[in-house]
Amino acid sequence: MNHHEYSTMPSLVLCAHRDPAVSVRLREAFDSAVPGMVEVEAFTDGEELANRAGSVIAESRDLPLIFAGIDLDGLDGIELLRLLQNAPPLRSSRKVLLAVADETGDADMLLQRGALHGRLDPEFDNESLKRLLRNLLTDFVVDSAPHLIDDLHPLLDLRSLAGAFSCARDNLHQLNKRLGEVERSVIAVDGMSDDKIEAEMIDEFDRLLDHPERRKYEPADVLVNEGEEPGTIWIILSGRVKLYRTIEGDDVTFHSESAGRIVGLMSLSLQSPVFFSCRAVTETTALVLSREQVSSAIHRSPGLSNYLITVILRSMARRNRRSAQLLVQVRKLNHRLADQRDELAATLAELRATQDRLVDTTKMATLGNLAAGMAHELNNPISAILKTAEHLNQDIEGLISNVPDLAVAAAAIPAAKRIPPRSTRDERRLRNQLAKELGINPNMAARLVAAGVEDREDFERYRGLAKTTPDEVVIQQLDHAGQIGSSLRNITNCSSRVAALVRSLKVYARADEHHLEKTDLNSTLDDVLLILANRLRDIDLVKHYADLPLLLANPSQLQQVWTNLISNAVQAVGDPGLVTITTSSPRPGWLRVEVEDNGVGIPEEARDHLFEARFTTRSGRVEFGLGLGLPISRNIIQQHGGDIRFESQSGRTVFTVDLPDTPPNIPEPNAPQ
Amino acid sequence: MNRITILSLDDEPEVRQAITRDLEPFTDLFRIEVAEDVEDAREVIQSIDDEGDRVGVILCDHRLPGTTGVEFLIQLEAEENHQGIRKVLVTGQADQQDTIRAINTGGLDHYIAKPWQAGTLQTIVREQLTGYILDQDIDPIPFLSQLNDPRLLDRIAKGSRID
Repeated sequence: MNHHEYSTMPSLVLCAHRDPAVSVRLREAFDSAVPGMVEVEAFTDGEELANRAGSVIAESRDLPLIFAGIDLDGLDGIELLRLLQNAPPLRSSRKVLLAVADETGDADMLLQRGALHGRLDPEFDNESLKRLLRNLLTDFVVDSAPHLIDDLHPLLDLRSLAGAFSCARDNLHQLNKRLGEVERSVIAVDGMSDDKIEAEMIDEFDRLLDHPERRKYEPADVLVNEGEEPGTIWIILSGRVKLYRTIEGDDVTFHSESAGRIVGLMSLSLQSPVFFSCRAVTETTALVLSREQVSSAIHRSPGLSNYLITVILRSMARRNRRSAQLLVQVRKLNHRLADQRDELAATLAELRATQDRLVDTTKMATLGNLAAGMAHELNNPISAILKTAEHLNQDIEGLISNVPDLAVAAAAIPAAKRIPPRSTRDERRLRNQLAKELGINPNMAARLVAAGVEDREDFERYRGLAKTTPDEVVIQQLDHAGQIGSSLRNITNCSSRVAALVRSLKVYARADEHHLEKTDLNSTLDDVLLILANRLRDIDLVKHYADLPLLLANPSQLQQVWTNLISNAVQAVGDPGLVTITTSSPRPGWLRVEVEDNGVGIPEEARDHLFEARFTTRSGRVEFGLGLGLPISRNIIQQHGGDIRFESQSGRTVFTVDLPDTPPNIPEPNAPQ
Repeated sequence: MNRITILSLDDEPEVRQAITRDLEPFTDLFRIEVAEDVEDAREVIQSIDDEGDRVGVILCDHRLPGTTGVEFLIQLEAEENHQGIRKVLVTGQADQQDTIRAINTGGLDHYIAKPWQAGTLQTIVREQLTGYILDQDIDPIPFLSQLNDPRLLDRIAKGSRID
């Protein structure tokens, strides 16, 4: 309750009544009893009195009494009293209803609620006023304004005042005494060691509780489990205990050294479930006390509660320090864990990359085996076909060279074989021309063109050979000879192509062997171009080959690299597509291959990852069964002591590979990395 | 002259020659043309149209320089005066997707897988030529000996359009 600073102004009494005589008489009464100590202010309007009462409180003036008649302007007396009751700072002021006995009505209810303290007949005599004032003012002074005793004492009931104050003085005295004891014992405890305090405390308990129970615990015996209701304390007399909690099935020790000698005190003082379980570490003897025993002992010995407080404080300090240490340890552990986690993540990424490389290598090995098998199986038949074509050639020529009637054929077969490659457009032009010159069917003319007859002059030459043979027979012989010649040529051409493919495949198949041999860089490129011929059909290919010395290398592995670079280039070209392959020797002892395409260039965000194992812009598809990806290409080039790099912009992307003619040191096959 | 042409489109000379050789039985009655790419095929078709002849059957490879056979057949099918041409794909490389497109939008009439048998090729060409002659309402009599197809005889028996 707001108890103001003592005001130096006189106390105030407010009075509201329609008859101004009432306040005049009140003022006279105060002036004669306590001159100058009380001012009376008069109102006829209840609302104005209420406002004034509020401002008096704001001025910190004492307002011991308020008188109110029932019939007033603004608020009537009952409403006014109700209003004042609702303003807590005004509750201590004593309120008096100015009314005759049968007028009070609602006032009984106000009396009950403490909103009204007394009634005074407006026609009061001095005796009844004095009685009323003595009661109300004495209560007011004792309750809330002892400083007014001097001012108002002529109006107060001094006997009851004395009773009230002596009671208060006794309480104060008791408090002081107790405080002094506490103070003394805290000072006494302050310098004592833990053992000393505990010994004193145990003595005190023994004395007060007549030697309470000692209990023995074997190592690992549980004194108390976490979560149990508090109600017991253990004072460890000998042996050692630890405090722990069970976390995810494991017992985690929180306090061992820092457990202290008293267990259960903290929970008891907090009245909360036991926080730590306690277990004996060694054979342990403890004094076991119930809550009732503890409180009865404390009640009888203030010194004991000091011991307990001291013990709690010291034990809290110890455990607190221990908690801080634990926190530090947890942080350190967290750091170590974070480091380990990062390490693990890095290792995992590495493992994945290695696995990808292994998968690639395995894929390549499988393809290599397949290619080797195919190459082996194809090699014999294709060699036989090549040989057969040669033999057929010799046999046919041998057969017809001695037959005079076949002179035309004998000349036309070799001629047909030698016909240079022509476009269908040129063939058609020659055919139409010949059909016109000889006056023959264009279909027949086409066959003569295929036999090497380009014009009438050619035809006349063959007719000369045939001497008497009729034209139709000459044409027929030329037709057949032309077919034979071009068939023989086609067999030879096609089977040579297959033989070359087989040879290139065999080189791929040896890719996983780690042998080095003198290698012609340009021909490793040509072998790859042959294999990729199918995919190169739709683009322009420009080759700038320099005369290069042989280099010591694994040709199969180099071919893997070229396959990759050229496949990528073909995939990336613009429209019209152009791939340029350049070889050179940038400085003595070094050879260079550049593969350039005219595509849009490598996307900016892809450039940094191009040589990383997991990175592919083609969803990991093995292109043409041989696309190995840039990471493996780089591995191969690095194993050869070389270097691979790229430049990329829109319209020009170049991959450059530099290789020494002799690798500096060749890693052993399957050497651990 | 109004001759019917068999056009072979393939970029490998050896394949063209082999096909031409297998088409020999047709040389007496039909015009034979070859082309190595689409551009040349266009030129040939143009000159055939100019000379008053017509293309009856196209034997087309799938892998062609710069495009595919299926693409070319789809183009032809879209041209009104070339819709009637019988279209045959001769390839070892068209996948299912390409083939489905060729049938649905390229008006593909037949598919020959490489390597082919001469007899098979000839039978297919004969059937396609017969179909073409019947579709186009061409007098079948001159082709009877070559094509030897009972459908031609039926047409003659009905005597519908013969002058």
